[in-house]
Amino acid sequence: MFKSIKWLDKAKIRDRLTSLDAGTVLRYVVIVTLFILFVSYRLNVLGGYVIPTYGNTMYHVGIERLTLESGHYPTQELSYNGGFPNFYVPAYRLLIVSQSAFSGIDPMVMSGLMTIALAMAVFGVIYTFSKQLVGASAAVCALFFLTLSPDITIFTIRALPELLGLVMFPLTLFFILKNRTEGPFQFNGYVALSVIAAAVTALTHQITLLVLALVLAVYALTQIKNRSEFLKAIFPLVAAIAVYGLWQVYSLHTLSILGIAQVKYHEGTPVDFFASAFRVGFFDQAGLLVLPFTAIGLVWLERNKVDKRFLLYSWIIASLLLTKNDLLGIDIFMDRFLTFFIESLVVAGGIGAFAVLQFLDARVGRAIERHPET
Amino acid sequence: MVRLTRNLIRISFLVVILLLTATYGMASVRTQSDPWLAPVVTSGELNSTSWIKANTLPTAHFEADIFGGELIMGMTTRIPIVGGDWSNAPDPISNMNASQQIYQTSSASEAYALCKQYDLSYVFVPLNRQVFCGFGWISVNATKFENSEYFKLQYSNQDVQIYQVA
Repeated sequence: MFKSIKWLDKAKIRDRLTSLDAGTVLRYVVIVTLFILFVSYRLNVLGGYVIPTYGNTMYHVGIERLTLESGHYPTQELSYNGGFPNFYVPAYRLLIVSQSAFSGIDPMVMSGLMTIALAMAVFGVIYTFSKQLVGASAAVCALFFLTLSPDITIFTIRALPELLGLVMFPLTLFFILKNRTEGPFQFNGYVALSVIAAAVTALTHQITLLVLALVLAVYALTQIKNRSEFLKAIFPLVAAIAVYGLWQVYSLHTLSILGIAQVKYHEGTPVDFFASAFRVGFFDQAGLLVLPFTAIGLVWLERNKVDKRFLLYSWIIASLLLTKNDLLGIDIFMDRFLTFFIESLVVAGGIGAFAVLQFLDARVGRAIERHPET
Repeated sequence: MVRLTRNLIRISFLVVILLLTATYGMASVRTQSDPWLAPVVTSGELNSTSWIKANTLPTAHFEADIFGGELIMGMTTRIPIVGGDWSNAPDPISNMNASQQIYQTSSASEAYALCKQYDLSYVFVPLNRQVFCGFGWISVNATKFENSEYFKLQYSNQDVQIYQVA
């Protein structure tokens, strides 16, 4: 008791406070403020009598309810008059089902609750990835762009499998980033985690899987001379493709996706710089500031030769290619791939903003040192 | 002193940035994102799903638009003519056409024939919103469903009527 009171000794408190790094304190204040802004808007998901219904959200609730009531994941669809095999992958729905079964909360309400929880996870994983790549200050800057991105906001307020994809995909990349073992390739814990995360991504959302597969393939190509890094990308890539292939053979009895409606009818809207009647506007969805800061971020990464920067480059290139797939004549889901492109720009833009702040801070510091009396 | 001045500048800068983020930044995000929070379906439609769950067979098929159909699926696991995942559906465009025509036509016999063709046992008729069957928002021509030769009213509230196909 006496000891704990002694801890309150003024001198000790003063010592602790003066030893606190002001930068760290500021960082935490900014993170908490952004987190409050980010989460408070997402609480609107539970504000109505029903969760937001755009994007087939209630359809997923239907499959979840049927799974809960029947005790097994349905192989036949309820959609479009039903009676045909289920194309969708099950991970997101099984996550909701498990939480619903565990808590007794209705799957519709649970979908809303999990939307908020998964949106928080997006916040966390973007911070973690950016911090691992460059550092905590750059990660905080990335959170600014994340909070202010209209597109990321739209996809983190809807109860969709893509939301889990927005968590699992960067998480898979984070495990590759975190695996900084030098020398010959070792199948360590991070490789195992990246393989598991890739497999879960494959079972979460087909669009996310395509992004992950292309990002890993591009990264593997950039690391072709570095066997260890190459294999760190190849293992999760093979796992994701194999798991998805097995699922599709089980559910549809074929590996082909050429017959699905999205391919047949070219579902998706092209993306241009600005929105028009038949085009999604990049700047409307991403925000105006992220692109110039991304350019600065990429220059900064290259000038500082940041380790594993090619993982972010691969993310940007692959997701941009998929977003503009209409130029390649594919013409499918351009506006959905855009979200993953914007997610990569949030990280790169954060690094750019960090570089600018670092530059300004150094200039201010020098100016103060030259004229301390001011 | 130098360190204090530098930290004060940092704090002032971050306070300004955070205030701008919380006001102008979040206002812009809200403008873009608020429409996506819309429930689209009305509270009466949601309330009607309790009746559907209690009074229809689990295998019952419904005429509904995409939003109504997904609400029915989500709350009752009943099967709508449109809504959900169209990836692997045998002929989703034909379903969309039929659903839209059932709502749009003024002919009770035509709507009835389409319901029979698509094996639909019930018609879900939203009263206070337009419907979307895949080709844009349209108004429902609801009077034809009052023809008891083809349709029998089973449930109604301020927002929705549910008819059984005769």
